[in-house]
Amino acid sequence: MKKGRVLLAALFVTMAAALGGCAGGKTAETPEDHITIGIPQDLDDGLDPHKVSAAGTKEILFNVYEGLLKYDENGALNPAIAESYDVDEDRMGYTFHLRSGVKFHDGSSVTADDVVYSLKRLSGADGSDPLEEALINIADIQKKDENTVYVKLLKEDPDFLCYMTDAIMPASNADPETNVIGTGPYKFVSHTPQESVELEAFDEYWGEKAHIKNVTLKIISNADSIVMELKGGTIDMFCRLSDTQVAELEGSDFNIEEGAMNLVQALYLNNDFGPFEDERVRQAICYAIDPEEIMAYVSGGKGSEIGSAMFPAFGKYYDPALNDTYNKDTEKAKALLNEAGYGDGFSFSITVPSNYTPHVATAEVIVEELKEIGVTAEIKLVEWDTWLSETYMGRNYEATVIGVDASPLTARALLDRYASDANNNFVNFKDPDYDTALAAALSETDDAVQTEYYKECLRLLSEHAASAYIQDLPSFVALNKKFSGYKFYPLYAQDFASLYYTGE
Amino acid sequence: MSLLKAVIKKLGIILLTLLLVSFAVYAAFELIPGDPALSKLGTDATPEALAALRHEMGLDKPFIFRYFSWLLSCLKGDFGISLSYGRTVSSMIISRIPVTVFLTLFSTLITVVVSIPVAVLMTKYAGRFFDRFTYVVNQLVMSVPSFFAGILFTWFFGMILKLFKPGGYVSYDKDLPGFLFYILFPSIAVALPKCAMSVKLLRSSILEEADKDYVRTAYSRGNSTMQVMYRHVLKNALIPLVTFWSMSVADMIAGAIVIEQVFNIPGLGRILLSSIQNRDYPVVEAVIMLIALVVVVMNLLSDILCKKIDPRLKS
Repeated sequence: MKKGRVLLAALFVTMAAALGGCAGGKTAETPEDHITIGIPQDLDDGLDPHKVSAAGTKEILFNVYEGLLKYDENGALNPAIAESYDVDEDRMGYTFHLRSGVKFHDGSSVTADDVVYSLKRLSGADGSDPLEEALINIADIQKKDENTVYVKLLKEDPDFLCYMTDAIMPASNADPETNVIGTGPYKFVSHTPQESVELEAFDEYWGEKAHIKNVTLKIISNADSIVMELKGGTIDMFCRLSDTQVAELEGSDFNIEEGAMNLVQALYLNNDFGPFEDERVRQAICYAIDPEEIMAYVSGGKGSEIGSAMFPAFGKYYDPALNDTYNKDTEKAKALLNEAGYGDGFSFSITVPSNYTPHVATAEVIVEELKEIGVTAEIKLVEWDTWLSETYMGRNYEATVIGVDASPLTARALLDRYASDANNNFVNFKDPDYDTALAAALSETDDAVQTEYYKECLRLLSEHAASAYIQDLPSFVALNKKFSGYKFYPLYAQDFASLYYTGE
Repeated sequence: MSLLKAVIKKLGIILLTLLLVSFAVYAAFELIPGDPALSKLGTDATPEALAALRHEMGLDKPFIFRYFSWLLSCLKGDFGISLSYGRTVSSMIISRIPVTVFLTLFSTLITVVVSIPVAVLMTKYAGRFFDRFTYVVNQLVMSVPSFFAGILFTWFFGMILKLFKPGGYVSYDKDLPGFLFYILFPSIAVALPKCAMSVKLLRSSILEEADKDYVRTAYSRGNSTMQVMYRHVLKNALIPLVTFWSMSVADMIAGAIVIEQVFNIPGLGRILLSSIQNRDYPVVEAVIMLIALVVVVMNLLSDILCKKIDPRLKS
């Protein structure tokens, strides 16, 4: 019994100590100096800006690294490390004039050597594997003088400048994977796997400095606790909330901002799977699906309908007329199925990564809609990694619901995957007309003509029903009323530098 | 001599168990779809980049070869490098161990400290109102899963009473008292069902012992009820409980894994789950080996403890 008493006493002492410590509280920094932002996934694909692939990692490194150019919230390219650039007459050579006084986070100045090093690393000109596939088009990178770098291309590329947003890093940094040194408005302080990331405003930033001094990114892997943490006050901001989470936050201390995810969400159909080989069957599926109905169920009616592989933020290419190619028409769908020899219907499976709730919900609506035309669809939930290896890379699936983004922010990134021989053509779409139009677009240098070709591509995708395009999902951001200044970007970027404190 | 033999035998069994577990985990990763290299590259993966990264990670070598080279470096104390974080596995795991250890320790402590007096009181008033009432409550608590209790706690103690900040976990190396206080609620959530089971087991164990002849003898020697209870009955009644508690520890580690998700605590459970998702098998291997080690060691300890309490088991 003596032992029991000792144990009991020990327990009470610990508890008392714990309670005492809690009551004591901490002397915190002033509220305007710090913001805690919840993020759903860890930076678990590394920190090397040239190598990371996860959107969640890229959007955070956006604050830490910069390229010669940088996107703004409208998707326009602005000068960053390069103050200006000249393009040669033949559009094959680019001269970048570096901004003076741009500092890396370790205090050293950005030199032409650092730029040459970074571009060589990206393009594989240093003899390694190219880290940015599109930049193998670079023939030569020269340092003209301390503040000028000249890049010569092998062939013209109207999208070339988009890739100049890739990070510039110091040539002296031997281990970019763990030693994070960029030029952005925030410097990287620490990363505790699965716990948090600490950022601190960079005092010597060349542009408009960040308003909030310290940013803590808290990793919240359990989606069910997001609302609780927001309400409990442990996080001040969270991006990409669902419609239901937003409803739960009603009446609390949060402002909800609404933007778009900039994704092409579709029921992607494997064009090599039996029934879907027939264009008429794919068209029938399109006629059976009503994006409005899906939006009503998945996101409370928010979201924007799309009719092809382009989202509305890309106003230049987005054609709202394509939304009407297949307005819901059950009779027409049945007739098309009959024509194709599937009058009695058929069944197939929709593979959906289980971690994406909106995609799962979308698939649920589709299953119901397809019942009306006698087609039986069955949802197969898989883990994200399984989806990546089996569905996306292995193309071993019948249909899937997913959102495809544009990275980099070009029409090409969305459209070149539909070329018959593209290695990322996971829908196995094959159409000679499309290949011709795409090739014409890629080699065209006149912007207006190129845009027309891209629009032609989009029309073909819609007409041949490459897949059943649905919507660009809405994106909700909850921001504590103490803060303001959130900006939506048409690409994966979270701009923490624009946030500022407004008062309790 | 026989003692040495017994020790060698036990150690052999422990090593064999660990070996089998490690192989099973490796084999499982070979069987399930997914690829750590692809997981890292995501949808940007080109066949060339994928092949290069697979080579870098050593995934292009045959399975058996990879297993044995991993085993060999393990024996040298090197658990490898995390495929997703590029850090050493040991550095990632060591900082997590105290979190899960404290959680499990707290829960075990709560289970033991609460269940003994409750069970003793119940037997004291056996058949009376207190006993019956507690019995019903106990039955109820037993059927509440830890994660659900955890959600209820966050709502009630966190959101309504505001005793703690939901999700406001603080690391033990930054603020130890704050950490211990935060860990208290999940610990109770994990302990509750185990506690109820202990009460039920202990109650029937005490009642059984109380009917035995030595109890009457103890009374006849002039001992008071309390003396009989604590000096004689409880000691014997605890034997089956020791085995139960030591097995509960293993169970509570598993419970901690779930509760870590509910309370957003970055312990071993969190790292295990996300590493499985990322197919980061060196980390998964190490965490599972650690858990397996705890299970076999707890087994061994309970054997020793039981023999200590009950000398009859020694032969």
